[in-house]
Amino acid sequence: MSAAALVLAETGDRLTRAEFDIPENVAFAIIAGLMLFSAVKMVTTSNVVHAALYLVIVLAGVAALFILVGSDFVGATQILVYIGAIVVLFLFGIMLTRARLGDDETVESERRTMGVVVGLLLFVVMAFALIDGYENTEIVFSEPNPVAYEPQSHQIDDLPTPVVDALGIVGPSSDEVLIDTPEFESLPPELQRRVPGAEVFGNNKEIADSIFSQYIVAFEAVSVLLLAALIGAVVVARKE
Amino acid sequence: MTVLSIELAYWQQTTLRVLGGAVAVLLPAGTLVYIYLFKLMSFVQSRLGPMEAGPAGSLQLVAEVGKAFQKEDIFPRKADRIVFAAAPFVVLMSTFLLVLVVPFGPDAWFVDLDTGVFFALAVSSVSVIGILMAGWASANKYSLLGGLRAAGQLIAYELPLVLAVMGVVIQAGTLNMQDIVLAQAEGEIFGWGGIGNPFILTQFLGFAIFLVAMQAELTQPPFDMPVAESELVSGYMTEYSGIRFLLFFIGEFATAGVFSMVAATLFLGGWWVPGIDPDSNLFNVIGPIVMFAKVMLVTLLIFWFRFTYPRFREDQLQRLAWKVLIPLSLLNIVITGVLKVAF
Repeated sequence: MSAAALVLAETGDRLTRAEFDIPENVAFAIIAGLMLFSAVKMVTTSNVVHAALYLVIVLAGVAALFILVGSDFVGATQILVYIGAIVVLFLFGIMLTRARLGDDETVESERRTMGVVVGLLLFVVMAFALIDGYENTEIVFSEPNPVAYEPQSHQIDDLPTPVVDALGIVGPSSDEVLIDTPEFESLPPELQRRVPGAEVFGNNKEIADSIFSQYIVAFEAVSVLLLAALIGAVVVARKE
Repeated sequence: MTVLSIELAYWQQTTLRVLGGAVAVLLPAGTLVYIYLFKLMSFVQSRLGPMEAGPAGSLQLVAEVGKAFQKEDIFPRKADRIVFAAAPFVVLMSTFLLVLVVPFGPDAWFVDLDTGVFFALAVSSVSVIGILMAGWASANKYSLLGGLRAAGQLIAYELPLVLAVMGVVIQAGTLNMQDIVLAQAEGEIFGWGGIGNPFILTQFLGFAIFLVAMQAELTQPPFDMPVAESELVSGYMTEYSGIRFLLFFIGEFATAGVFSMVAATLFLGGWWVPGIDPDSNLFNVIGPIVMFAKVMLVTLLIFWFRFTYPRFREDQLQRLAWKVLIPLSLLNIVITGVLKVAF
């Protein structure tokens, strides 16, 4: 979220009108405004269930922003894990114990000053980290995923019809044709990925590649940790 | 986007997509209610069903909707008004988000997300929030119990639902719904590509688990403990009346239709039928019709089970999910993975 805002703040005066992605930025402003409002309401409301529901709006806003910058995998994970599981569990717990309707006077509000201080500190640290890390990076919205391709021969039979049409290939269907790199690049992106042998590098692929090679140890460690927590929960629950 | 060689502006595309989404959600819902809920259910129970409104009762649905519109929109005095009023919309929103990723033809889709199936499963879990909101805000014990039961059930059956889809994703090698359809259309069974390779053949276990989990996610009988009328009146819907009850009602059957679209896409080849080149423009026209036919087939199974089996008990329901469906779907993933690597 902040990254996109920073890009606007840093480079806003350098962008020409054609480069400035208006629909995306309007959408960002609406989502961010809604998130800020809900975040403030979440900590100031005196009804616990309302607080959890405002949290849903904040988390849905985060997911929407992820989808807006093209990371739909992270966005969907955000929805599945946070809204579909964690907040549901919160609501479940609240409703089983103290689901009072209306304002609840016993909700603590004395430690608000401490909360404000912690929040400001976190904001400063994260803002510094983001400005430092993304100083001159521009976010490119909705760019097609890159496709890797080695020039190779194909049987015309194996090629999808639109590819054959687009390249103007003629001949008996059992013939072999060579599709070289310039020909491949002349295809529109939605056809490129359908040529046999072409490999699409999307977000999903990059995430999968880095999780199962570079971060495999961390990934396995987290899996074991979660399994331990699961078994622990069962043991604690069955203790009687 | 170009339709009939007219280049459409952004707002025109958006309007078209919104209209298309509304049709894709509401048309199957209405058809399901009339053909299956009114007529097939009557047939199963040896009665005629609605016969008065229109020929063979075909306008009964219009009458029902008209009745719901006329009724007073009642709020219980102690209810939390805003949450109570918003809850049906949250449930319906999850349905409309779900239809977004379903493809209806080679170029006929709403959004072509790379994470299609994953996104669909993620947004389908949002409806739990709406149900919990409705149960809590009604200020009624039965509603709250119904809401909690529904949440427990939906969480339990989300797991087999996700795990059953994993087999298809491993076999197709993609999460994108459009590419899953193409993988089935271009697939071959032992070198024979006559009918492609609809994943119901190789992933039959996955399909069966998906169907059972779907039945539970839709809280259709025999999984309707959250609205069990003999114990909980109508569960989280008890206090709702008029237009808001209608929204819950539409939500129930629209979600059945949209979930069946996802099932048809994953297991039955989606908009594709054997014999026609999947890249042919023809599919942009007949694709939605093919999809509709497949949806009616899947929902027939759902409603058949609904009319046939008595309701589960709460503990039987949880046992089925955790001790039968989840181990089976894990087994399915292991087998699919091994076969994928072996072949």
